[in-house]
Amino acid sequence: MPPGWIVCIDGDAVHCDEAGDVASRETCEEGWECVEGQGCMKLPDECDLTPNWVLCIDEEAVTCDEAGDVVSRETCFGEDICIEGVGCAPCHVDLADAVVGEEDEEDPGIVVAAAPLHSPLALVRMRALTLTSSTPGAMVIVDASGVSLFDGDGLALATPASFAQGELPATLYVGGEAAAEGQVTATFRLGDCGEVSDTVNVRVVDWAGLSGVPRDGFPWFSYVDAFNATGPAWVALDPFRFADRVGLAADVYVVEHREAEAWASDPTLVDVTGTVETLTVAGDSVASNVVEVWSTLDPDGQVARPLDVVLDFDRDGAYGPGDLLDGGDTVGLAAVKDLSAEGPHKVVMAQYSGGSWLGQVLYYPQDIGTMGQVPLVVVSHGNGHDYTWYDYLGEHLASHGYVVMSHQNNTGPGIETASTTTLLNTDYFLENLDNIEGGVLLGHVDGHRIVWIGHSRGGEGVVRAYDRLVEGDIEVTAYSPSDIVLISSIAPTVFNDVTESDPHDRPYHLIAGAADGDVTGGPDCVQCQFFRIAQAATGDTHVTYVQGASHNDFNCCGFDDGTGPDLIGPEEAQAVAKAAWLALLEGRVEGEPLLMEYLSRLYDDLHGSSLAETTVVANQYRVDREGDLIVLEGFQNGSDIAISDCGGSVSYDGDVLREGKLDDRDSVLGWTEGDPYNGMTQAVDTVDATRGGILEWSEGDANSLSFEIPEGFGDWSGYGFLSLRAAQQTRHPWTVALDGPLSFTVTLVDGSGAWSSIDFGVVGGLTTPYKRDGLGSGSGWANEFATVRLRLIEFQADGTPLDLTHIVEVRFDVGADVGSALGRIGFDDLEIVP
Amino acid sequence: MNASFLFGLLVPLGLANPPPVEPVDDGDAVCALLYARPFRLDRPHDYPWMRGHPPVTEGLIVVVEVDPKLARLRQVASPVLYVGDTPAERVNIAASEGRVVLIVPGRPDLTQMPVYLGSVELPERVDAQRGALELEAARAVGVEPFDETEVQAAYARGGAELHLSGSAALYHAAADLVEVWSPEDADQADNLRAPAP
Repeated sequence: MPPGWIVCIDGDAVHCDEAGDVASRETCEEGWECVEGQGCMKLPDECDLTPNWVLCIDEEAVTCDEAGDVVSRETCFGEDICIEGVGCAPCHVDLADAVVGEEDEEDPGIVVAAAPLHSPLALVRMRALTLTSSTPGAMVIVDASGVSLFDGDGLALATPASFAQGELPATLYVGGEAAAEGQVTATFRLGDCGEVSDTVNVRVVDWAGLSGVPRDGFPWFSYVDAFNATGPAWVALDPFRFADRVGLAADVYVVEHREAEAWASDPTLVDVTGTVETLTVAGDSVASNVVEVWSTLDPDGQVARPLDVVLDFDRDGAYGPGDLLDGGDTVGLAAVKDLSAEGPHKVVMAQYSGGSWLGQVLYYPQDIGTMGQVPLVVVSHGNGHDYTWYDYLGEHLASHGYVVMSHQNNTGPGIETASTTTLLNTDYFLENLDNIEGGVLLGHVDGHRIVWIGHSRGGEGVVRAYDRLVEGDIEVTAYSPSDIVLISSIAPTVFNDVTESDPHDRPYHLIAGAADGDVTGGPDCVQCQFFRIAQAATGDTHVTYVQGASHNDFNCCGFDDGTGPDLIGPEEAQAVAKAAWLALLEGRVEGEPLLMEYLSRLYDDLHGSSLAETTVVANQYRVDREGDLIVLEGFQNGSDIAISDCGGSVSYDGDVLREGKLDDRDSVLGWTEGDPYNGMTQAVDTVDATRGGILEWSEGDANSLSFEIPEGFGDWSGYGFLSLRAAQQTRHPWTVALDGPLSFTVTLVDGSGAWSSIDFGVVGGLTTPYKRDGLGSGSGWANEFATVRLRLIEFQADGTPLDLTHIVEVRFDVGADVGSALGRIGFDDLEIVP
Repeated sequence: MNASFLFGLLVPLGLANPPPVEPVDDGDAVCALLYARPFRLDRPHDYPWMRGHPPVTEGLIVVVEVDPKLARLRQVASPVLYVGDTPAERVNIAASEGRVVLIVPGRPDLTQMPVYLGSVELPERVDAQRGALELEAARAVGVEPFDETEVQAAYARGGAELHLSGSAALYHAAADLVEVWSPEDADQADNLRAPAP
């Protein structure tokens, strides 16, 4: 060998010196080999060209260092696969909901209640999804369809959105403002993983709340918000609507109402009922998921104690994503005091006169000086009445914080003069606040919230006064038409046409007694037909028609005019009236809408807690004509019974269906075939335009009245109720034979043929007409129209498939199997309302 | 004046046309003239009890006794109380006993002009023509003025002409008479005299 050469012997490199001797012998390391003349040389390997990388070779991860040498080799096993540049790792991305398990995320998915997306509570009302990926290097793309996504800071997330590994885990919120089906998907594509994704299906459902009343039949539970504090209140969850909750347990908290911002800042749950109930959601029916949350509850000195309900699914004693809240943006439910009982304020009375026909009695809270500006209630008495006869009303409302002024009313000359008195007394009062009672009311009367209540001629007078105010017929200085926020008439006369005694667009309330021996309401007396004024009103309109109440039951001292059986007397009549007015004022003037349930639900379903169970009242509620409503049938378009107001066909396979002016033709109440509109006093021939329908069915029949809903009228999503007014027709043989409350079934049919039916008899019935004699043979007085409101969402109870965006038919099914066995009713105003 | 007659008052009254002239009185409804006193006002009294609201500067305060069943004020079926062809202003309620205090415009001769219950109508709708028709119809059914003796006795109870400043004083004077002649309305009399605030 040449001197200085390197020879390879048995894999060792032997270095020879110049003398040809062995200078050194080197054993080559693993991965190296001896090369003649060069010595130990590194063998070429997988890393030579990929320094600082992880190679995947036959499911083996080969890690290369900066020098391009193999650092390690790892065989991937289990769920891991070898990912170039990464090594052994799972192909994994996950969208995890805190409530349901992974296995339920796609079916049934998660359910979110529709809610505003821009409330302080928006994020909490949504569902929180945690996005993770344990795949290093994965760039996750999140996309959503049909629902809205927000990031952890509450900012709307534009989709698709990318998330690098460093941004994970990330919290995403999903929700929607309206019912929708959607999904959220997280996806990445990486090397041998290919495309990896996780999907959560999301259903946004209409939200009716949690509080309500259980029913004996479908829909099994009615969602309502107002409860007497002395009676039970319930909470329920529909397992079909919230299918993701089936099998889960939740603590049921009833807590003081908090505005959304307060909830957002303090989600702690403090139950006020004394017991936190637990609801384990059964899957069979909402009827199985009803929890009584209180049997009685202290209203805490308030008219309506505002409360919220939380179903705390994670049972952590705090409201958070995944829990259900009935409340926050609006009051969830309320425990309502006895509306007829006096309020918390001591009342001061004063009497004075500002001159001729300016005698006034004033009722105000003793602590008015500590109060802000409160509404003014003006009381205008009737003919032969006196302004001092309404203590019950003045004291009642003043004890609840209102200022009430009852004035001398010049009713003797007539309605025009009475209206002048109302107008001028209101003006005098507001102009003289600095003089009256030493100025104690100054700064505490809200002249922009004036309520006029009139009785009899005064009841028509207040309506006429408003009309004159609108027409500019009289000059007042202290207020304008918009300051009259509510008009209420007690058994008003109707001397004028309703174009003159016209409530216009004001919220209007009428209360009258069926035993009235003065303004009787009878068809023999045009001036007595007070329903005409309510019919003429175009704003929100309420009627409280009280059986057994007389004309002078509504003051202290008028003569005894009660006519008819089962007279309830002034104490009960005034209690009914006090409850109605307090609910009206608190609901409509003070802005606590849930109190309006006392006037919009059937009286049997909800009334003031101290009122006699035997008292019979028919409640009517007609929504503002200019409001957001869908009029299906009001019988106002022509006389073709086969075509409804919305242009759909109408058919009936029973005995009698007809439409016409709601005007008793023969002025007596005894039944004759020649007067099909017997007892109707909503219109006067040639003057009023109000029309309505008549429907009759015989015993043994099963009939259906069908209203086709044409295109353009069938999307009811976003609306609250199907509403109609109906009354048993007085003295008709079928009404006499039935001799009890009447009901029928309302069926909705959607475009796919799916249908759902509710017999509103599970809530209450149409009242039996008051059995008063006179005006012909037989007994029975007014046709006591009541408004039946069926919450649309309840037609979908227990998973009943019904597409409320595409309703094609409304049907009234009548007969023994679906309601009352026989009957004859007047009906009107079939509408879809908020 | 019987029950069937009262029931007859409730016959439908069309709105487009005024109600028919059908006096409720058959000659006996206003039984007695109890008191009469002339008054004069410095400032006119607004009088909405007739169409056109004629200002009243002189008149009579009168107390009559009316059949209690007919005197009771109602909302709808209340006949207008006339003196001659002019609706009188009723001051008190007179729900039971029928003693009614009236303010009568002008100086009607009560020995010539009957006091009677005319048709059911709102006084503010009564114009001169209607008033004349009512008087004519009342006379036709036998309504007559009070005799001179009764009229003189009433004026004797009333005394000399009252000279008053205006409406408020007039009502105060009427309230005093209500208290005396119709004690059932004593509270109303008090209310008419309510003090200034």
